[in-house]
Amino acid sequence: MAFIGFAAACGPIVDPAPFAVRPGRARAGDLLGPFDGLIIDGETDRPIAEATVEANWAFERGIGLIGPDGANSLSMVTTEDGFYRFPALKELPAGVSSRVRRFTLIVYKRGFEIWRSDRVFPSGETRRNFTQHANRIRLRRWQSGTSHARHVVFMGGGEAVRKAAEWETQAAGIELGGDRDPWAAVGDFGGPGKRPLFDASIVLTDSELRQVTGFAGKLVRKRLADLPRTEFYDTVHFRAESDGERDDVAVRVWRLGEAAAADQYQELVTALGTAEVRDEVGDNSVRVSTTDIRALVFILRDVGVVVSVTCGKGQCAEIEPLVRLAKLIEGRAAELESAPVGEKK
Amino acid sequence: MKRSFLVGGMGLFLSLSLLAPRRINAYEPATTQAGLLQQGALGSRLHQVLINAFGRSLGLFEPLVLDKKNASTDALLLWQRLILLDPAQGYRPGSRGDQSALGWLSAGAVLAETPAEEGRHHYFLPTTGRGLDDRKGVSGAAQALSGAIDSGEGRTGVRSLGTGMAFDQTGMPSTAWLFSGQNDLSVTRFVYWVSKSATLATPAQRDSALARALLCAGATAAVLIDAGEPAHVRNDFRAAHESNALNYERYVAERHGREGLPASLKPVSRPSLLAFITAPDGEGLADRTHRRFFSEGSVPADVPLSPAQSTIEILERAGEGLAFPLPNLPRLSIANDNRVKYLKMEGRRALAYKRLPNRLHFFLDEAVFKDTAKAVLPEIEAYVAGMLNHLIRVQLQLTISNGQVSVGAKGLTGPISGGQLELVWEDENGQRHAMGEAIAVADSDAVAAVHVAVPAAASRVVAVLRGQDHAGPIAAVGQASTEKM
Repeated sequence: MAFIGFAAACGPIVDPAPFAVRPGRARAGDLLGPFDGLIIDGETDRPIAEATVEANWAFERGIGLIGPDGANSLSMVTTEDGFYRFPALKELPAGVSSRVRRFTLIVYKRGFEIWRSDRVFPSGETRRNFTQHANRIRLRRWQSGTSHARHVVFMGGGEAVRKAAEWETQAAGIELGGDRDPWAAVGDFGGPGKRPLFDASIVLTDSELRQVTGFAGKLVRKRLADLPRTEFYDTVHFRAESDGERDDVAVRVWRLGEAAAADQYQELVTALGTAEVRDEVGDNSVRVSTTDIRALVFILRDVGVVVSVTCGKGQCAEIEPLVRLAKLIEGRAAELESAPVGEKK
Repeated sequence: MKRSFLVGGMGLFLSLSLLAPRRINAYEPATTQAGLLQQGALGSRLHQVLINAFGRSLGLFEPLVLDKKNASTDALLLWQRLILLDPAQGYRPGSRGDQSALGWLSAGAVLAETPAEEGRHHYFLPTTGRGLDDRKGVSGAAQALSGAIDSGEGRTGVRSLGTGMAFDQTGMPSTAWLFSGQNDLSVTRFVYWVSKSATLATPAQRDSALARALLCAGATAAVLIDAGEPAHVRNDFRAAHESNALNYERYVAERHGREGLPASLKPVSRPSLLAFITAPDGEGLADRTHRRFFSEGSVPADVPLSPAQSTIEILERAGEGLAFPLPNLPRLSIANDNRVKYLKMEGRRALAYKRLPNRLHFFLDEAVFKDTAKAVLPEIEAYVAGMLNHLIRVQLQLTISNGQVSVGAKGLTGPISGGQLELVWEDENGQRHAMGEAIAVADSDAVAAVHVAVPAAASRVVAVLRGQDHAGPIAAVGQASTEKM
């Protein structure tokens, strides 16, 4: 027992740091810190403000079989000078076989690629230029065509980084779902949690619809049930009591941001297969016609919105009313971009 | 007095020696295990299934909250393990219990070895069907000592050793661990939580259940990943001092981390869940890894050399030093040129050896680690992708007609043992309600014969099928909206 007391008093092991103490120095740094550095734009060399910086220490335990044993995380947001500073780790893990195993610094700023102190995006290669002090982080601008899914998976990070990058998970989810059928009837297995939901109810009113199509029958305004409403997707369904789907009109709206909207639009066009490219509404658009229904899908690239309008041939015997409805919605681009979120589900 | 000082000092030295950083040959859970799982998940159909069958519009990126407020005791214990994880790797849930579906899955792979002693059940020796047995090993002594002196909440300690809870250097075969009642992240629990993720009343409850199902799937995949780690399929519990030369697992952790692992190959398809690990056709991952790769503790014993020995005699002696029949040593170059040479298999360097003045020395070096990683890591990911696909292989299709719902099941292989079909309906507020008792079903025809009246207030009907067929446990979900355009 005396030995146990002695051993316990020794404190945790701190693994050797895989980074240097300062740029140009061979001496290894200290995993415990403190850490400081500067974050700059890789193109302009100017300091970057409002970048989220997260410092993470990971602890492990065990001799032979090794497993996680806790962590400590600090975060900050840079000001105009682009500097970050984190104090040395004070709260060390208890237990004789406990050790401080890793330190990872993560920097996230929307519009730039993620920066991690251990790996380089997108190659995944080991980073060699991280230093404990006077570290200089050159953030690379986001490259068109970079995979959001790959970026989000690479990123990792705790609460601060995840919150800053929350918007990107939407783009990642859509990007990865390349082979899903957007028209397939899918269900809701509990909904999207407690995030604020996108409200697209402003796209079209009953009276506007009647003015365009001349429909005089009774309409019930609802939401479609084919895909669950989310913080980036909403629908409006004008359900006619008269003749089933032939008199129905439905609008589906995705508010995704520029890159993800482009992906979603392409995905829809691909899924539609026989779509006729007309580019008559928004930045690009396609038409589709089936036995009972006409559809028009368009994208507003600047505001990152994709809209699909379907109209039963009872109301849209010709294509013109559908095009007019779509243009009416296009005129609401600014409102859609800043559309309110609805109640939390 | 002097003697007692010497004895005590020697004891202290030995004890401290055992306490120096040592690590058994195992993939690092926090980085390698999680990264292999993530690549496998990205290569699987799970994203599409989460969208289409589970209605999670962001698939693998869907946020799910583990409800801590109304959590049961086991969920709170689970939470205590979750907060031990490294936030930098992206799978530790936030303070609200929130994490993406992929994050929960990855966390499961790490929790499978949190606490670390759980890793003892990740061994499988294909030649005997047994798990870990290192009761006489030196590394085992270090492990026991570690368990005895560590203290703190949820850890093994002197007391747990006394009560028999601590690690005795043995473990059940990984194939048994997958279904063990002692495993709170087992395949059995996966089936249970998938079912609950569909049938529980509130969205929050269903979120929590799906998070737990994904944890179980991740932990199941972690067991499979270890079947792609040579030491785990060659009963090699050797622990190396970390100050010693690089070993394979450390090479993989340092070279690839979590983020730098190769992309998955095409998902592997196997006839049953266990066949992903081992099967009579020898194509389980444990079977393949066992016969194709050496681990550091199972390289051939060094062969003493004497001037009178012929090359054939040396080869025979080397063969006798093999721990297992495969991989064998079909040919070696025994020229006395003081160079490191390699035994090549499948075009890769599988074993290094060097002729020393008085012996032929076998070992693994960085060149072998590099080739091993290049060969086995994408293969592991392909097996993980395949296993995830296998767990969700059965699809349910619901049809609502004339006020009644009927169910079709695709992907079943033969009769269903213990099959139960549950139907629930969802109201406009997202609350779900049972549509009668669970129905016993013995095959796909029995599933198709089910017709149940749909309540007028239902906006959605959801079906869950549980049971087991020839391919293993079934956890299938399907749903249909009562209206659509």
